Amino acid sequence: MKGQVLFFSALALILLISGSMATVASSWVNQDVVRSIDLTSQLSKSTIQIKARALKESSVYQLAIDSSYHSSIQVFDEDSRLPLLVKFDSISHKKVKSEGVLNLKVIVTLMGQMKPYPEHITQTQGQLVKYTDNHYFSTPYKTESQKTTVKLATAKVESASELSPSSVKGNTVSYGPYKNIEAFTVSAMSIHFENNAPFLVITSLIKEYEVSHWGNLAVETHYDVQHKGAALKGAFSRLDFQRQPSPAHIAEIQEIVPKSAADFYYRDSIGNISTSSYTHHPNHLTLKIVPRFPLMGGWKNSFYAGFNLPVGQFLSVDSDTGSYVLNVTFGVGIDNIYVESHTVKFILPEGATDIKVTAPFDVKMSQENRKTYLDTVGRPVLVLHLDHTAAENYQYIQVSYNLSSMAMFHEPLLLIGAVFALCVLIMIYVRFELSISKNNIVVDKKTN
Amino acid sequence: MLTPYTNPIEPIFYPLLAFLFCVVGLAFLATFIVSEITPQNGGKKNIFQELTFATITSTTLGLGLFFVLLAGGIYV
Repeated sequence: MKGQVLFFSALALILLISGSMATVASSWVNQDVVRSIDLTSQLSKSTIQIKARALKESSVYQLAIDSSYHSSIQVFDEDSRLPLLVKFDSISHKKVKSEGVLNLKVIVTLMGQMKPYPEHITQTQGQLVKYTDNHYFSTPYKTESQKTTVKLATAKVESASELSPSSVKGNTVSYGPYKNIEAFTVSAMSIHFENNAPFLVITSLIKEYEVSHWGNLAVETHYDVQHKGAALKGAFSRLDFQRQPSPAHIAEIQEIVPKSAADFYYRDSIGNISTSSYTHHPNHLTLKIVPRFPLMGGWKNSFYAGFNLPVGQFLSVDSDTGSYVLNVTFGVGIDNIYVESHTVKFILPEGATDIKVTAPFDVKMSQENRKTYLDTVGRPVLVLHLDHTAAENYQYIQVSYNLSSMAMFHEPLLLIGAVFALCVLIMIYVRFELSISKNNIVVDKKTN
Repeated sequence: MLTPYTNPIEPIFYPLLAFLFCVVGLAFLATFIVSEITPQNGGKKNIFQELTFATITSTTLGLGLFFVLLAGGIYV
């Protein structure tokens, strides 16, 4: 298809450009843009090197991303190599004077952008997917020169849209260089190719961190997973599966967990599942989760797994304010995973106050109360929620709270109190005269 | 300035502490009950002596139970 189709409306793009579009559109010119799109997994990972020239003094650079896409964006300043704050589609950076140059590295991860086509395949068929995007870099600024390279999972390319100069070589499709492209120019890119990477989507993820100041950080993760690749056509045959494994099935899930993790468990609603193992690596452990059955296209599964961590490696004390700071990752360490509904819960010690969160991205917050062992008023639970996450999984977030030093002695005092109450009960009991006959005392005196 | 948090007792000592405090605590509790049901001084009891004994018993046995929970993996 050579025709240039406006496959996503310019309106959607314009809607994204918040506020004063006129001033934004004229404040930058992209001198050179190099995009490399990695389509080797279920996610589309674009690394975009941008060299932009300021037309006037500015501290905000904007991206144009179709609002129908589920994306997560990370931006780094190429000069200082530091991550920059991204709010929706606006990147805040240090002030750049007129005619100054800004070098950015933008990593855009698009989720669910590769659609299985055909949507149904048999057990032994390979999975073909269709990827749609823009031939040009979507931007609210004029771009002087740009080039795009797309790396595919396999060299089996059914079709790739053309826009001269473009070429297909093995598993690489390249577009450009294109010169002097106006802002918001859209030309539909479509690549149809074979991709048997696991299309594993966590439809609902609930991760819980339970902090104990007595030395433990308990981590438990509830997974609802689904194979969102091409759905299985017909019935599943175990015999065929043994003889000729299906190319697009998911047999196991590997999760990276901190090196100090211990006491692993892996269960579902029936009970313990014994097919899990972990292996040691220099900097981490790999937890291998093998579900009860292989996941074929469209199949679902749900289970939970957990482990313990020594709290000292993740909890710090701010010596200025005396508050505690917990530093942990937001999501699960599964490669190229896409989470649709992502919830992280922090179960803090009873009596924790002034709970604050520092995250490198926007996140929805709420609070709950949970009563577990030896609790009286319940523990504060901080709930963070985000929809459609990929890159956020690996990022660290900080939760800070205040806790009086006496609060951790609440539980032992409760037990001491309980035993003391037992002793008092015994003291009261022996003071009652419960015998029927009054002669006992007389008998006692005689024997004495 | 952030400094790593250190917990008051290393978790490796929890089973030992649980054992010691429970043994001592149960011994005190047994002694306390025996002294309670044994008539002394013609049936008169010294309430302060009893309460002191009860305090020692509850502290040791309470801590013993607490460390049993910690050693068993219930991090309260």
